[in-house]
Amino acid sequence: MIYPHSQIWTPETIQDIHLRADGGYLLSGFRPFREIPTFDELVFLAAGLTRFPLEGYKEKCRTKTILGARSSSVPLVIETPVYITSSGALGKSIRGALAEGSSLIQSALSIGGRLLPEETKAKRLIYEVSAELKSARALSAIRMDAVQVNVSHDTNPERLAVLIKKIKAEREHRIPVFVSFAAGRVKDDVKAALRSGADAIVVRGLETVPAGSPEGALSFSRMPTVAAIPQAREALRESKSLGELNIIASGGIITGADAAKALALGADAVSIREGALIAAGYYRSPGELASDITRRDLSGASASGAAERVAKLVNSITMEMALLARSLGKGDLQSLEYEDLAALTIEASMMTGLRLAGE
Amino acid sequence: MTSSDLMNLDEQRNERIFEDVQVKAELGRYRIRGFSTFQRLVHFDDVVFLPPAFGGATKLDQVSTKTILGTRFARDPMKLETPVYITGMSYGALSKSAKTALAKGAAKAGTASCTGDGGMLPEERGFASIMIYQLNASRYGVSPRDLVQGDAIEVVVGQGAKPATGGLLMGQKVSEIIAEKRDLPAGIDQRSPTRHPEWMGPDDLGIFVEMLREVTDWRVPIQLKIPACRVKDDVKLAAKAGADGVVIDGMQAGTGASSEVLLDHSGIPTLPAIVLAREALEELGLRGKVYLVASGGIRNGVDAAKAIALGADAVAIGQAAIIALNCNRELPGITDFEKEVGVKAGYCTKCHTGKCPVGITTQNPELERRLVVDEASERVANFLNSMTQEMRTITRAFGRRSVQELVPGDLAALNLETSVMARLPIVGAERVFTMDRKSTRRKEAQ
Repeated sequence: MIYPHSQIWTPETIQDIHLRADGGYLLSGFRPFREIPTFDELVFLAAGLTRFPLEGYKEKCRTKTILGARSSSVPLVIETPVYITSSGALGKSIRGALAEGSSLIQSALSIGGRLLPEETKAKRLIYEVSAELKSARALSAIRMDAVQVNVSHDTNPERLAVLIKKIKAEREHRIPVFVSFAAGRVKDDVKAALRSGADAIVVRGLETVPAGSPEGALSFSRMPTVAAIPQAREALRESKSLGELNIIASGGIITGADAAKALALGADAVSIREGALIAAGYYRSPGELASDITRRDLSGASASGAAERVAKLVNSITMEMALLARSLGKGDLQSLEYEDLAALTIEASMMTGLRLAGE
Repeated sequence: MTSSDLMNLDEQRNERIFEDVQVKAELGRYRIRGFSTFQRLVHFDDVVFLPPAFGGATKLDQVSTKTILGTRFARDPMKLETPVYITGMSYGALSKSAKTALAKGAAKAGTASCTGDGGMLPEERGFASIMIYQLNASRYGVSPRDLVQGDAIEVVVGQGAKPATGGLLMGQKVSEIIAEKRDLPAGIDQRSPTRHPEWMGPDDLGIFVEMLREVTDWRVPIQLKIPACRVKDDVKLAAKAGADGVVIDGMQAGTGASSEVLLDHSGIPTLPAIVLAREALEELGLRGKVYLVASGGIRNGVDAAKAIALGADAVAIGQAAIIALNCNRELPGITDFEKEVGVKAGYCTKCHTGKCPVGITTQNPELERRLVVDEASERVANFLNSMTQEMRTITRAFGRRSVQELVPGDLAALNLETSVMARLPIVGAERVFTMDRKSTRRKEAQ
């Protein structure tokens, strides 16, 4: 008799209990140890006789992305709708590689806390702060292209509005302010962010669990990114604010297909992290995902060329997106739209409101 | 598939993600490969025939599989002994031996084969009893002299494996001969255009179809091959453009080279595509007048019978025919897959590299010699005959005399998605499952 894995007592669950009993944590820096609907359950409906595709080798597809133009005089302009999220919990050399990689592709780096010299030199920097009033004070010393306020469960919307006002005043309304939250009650939260004066929201799906900061019991208390984006878009539509507030999707985006689907569902940009960490050589195999990442860094061998590899990954993702967009007859990634997609499963159809293929 | 297999798939998922990211981090662009999609999709296994126990007294050899395609406008429709033919695959993607063996094998089984995006080989025309001449956007190797030799003409709007993009032929496969045939420099990657030079939309396509009719003196059927995306609209427009038949190529379709992102994320599965195409023709009142061919992932006679029951008049096979030629088979004393292409036989997707160990998707004469045309054509014919026999067995179980008499009511679905997509009740239920759109949050395009 050959036994499969138990559905509930998986090797990860067993390892998690062992680690907790040892007084530690199992940090999932990658994806939750369970099956959840992913972008793979959506397909693109390419051009046929109803519209014509663009030729790959002679017709351009624009990838430039502008974020946060709602109230800022200098919105964030990136050459691809894919940017990189780093973390203060990572080692110095991997942080440096992510920063440098983001510059090589003319995109942005998102990080908070005390910055490394490489990070201050990032071509575009989204500086993350916690949603506390004192956060506004420290900002003037740093060169940044956007501020991201990370909302936590004790943030109050009125206080958030005051904070955003202070940040904007501090930076003379030049740079945009993003508000980031985990995808729980997305519609309500997007409307609250809209009222608080945010220029963009970063919605973090179930697939993201921040490196090095275990959210414990709340780690998996969210919806998958694939469901969160349509919710955010729907909230904007209900508030008659579509296109006013930008939607940035984070979590579970690895390939250009994932990113293109996120954009078609309603996101204006996506942030990646795990893929960049793999490309850099920080994670070398799936087995390393469950190790304690906060104590690790790139080793000498993998540090060389790490930034270039990160840049090449984002290039691949951007090219894949452009390839899909052209096959849909779109000359701009921002033209990807809801009706370019169909769902392959009932769950994905219900979550996104997309029609089932063949329905 | 057992639950333990599913768990294994899940464990492989992270490994696949790692491999993909690591390769792209070196490559800096999208990946290209051959074969077919690796996504888990609704397919023919998700529907079953439910024949009665007392099916009547039809004998196996009384069941007809004869199929006539192209009665709408053509004077000489295609008369096939079996509703399965071999789809277009280019000389270039395939070796000359492979193309010849396919034409010869199809002829032995009394059915058609198709040229592909690289022009016609004299050998191909010589051996084929029914040859479909394919016209692609690239026009590689196309000659009006060859065109009029076709028993049917297929205009390719797109392929299921790479919707809305043109053919790809990597430099390794652009040999001197192929280069000359296509009027290209040898050894350089060739990316075919996706839009035809003569037409952009369905109206000018109609003019183009009429031109082809004039050229062929209204003699042969003209079919349009469409990737399964917006199936209903596209099939209706194809019918309006004056096609005798429509080939609907699903997401599971194979290829010699495609960008992975299109293979795995573009188009809809073959099964719902057939149903949508049938409904489109029914809505126009053209069912039975415009013929419908289904392709993409058809592996045997049961798949073919299911496709026909769902509304297709015939099916086309590509990958299955290639496998009949020994694709992904270790030939003792001749091949060494792990050494030659780095993977075990059964896992090869390296058609695009031109290193095909069994001489099918290559232009290397050494490798091509491994494919012995006569023997290979016999294998193709055997495979086609086995499909025909399977279709007869199923038709007979329902007490019918012709495979064309299979209907959707002979089938039931095994899961909810398939019930919705195929408009079939779940096995044991009477009702077709539908999505209740009134209570579903709809997010209409603004």
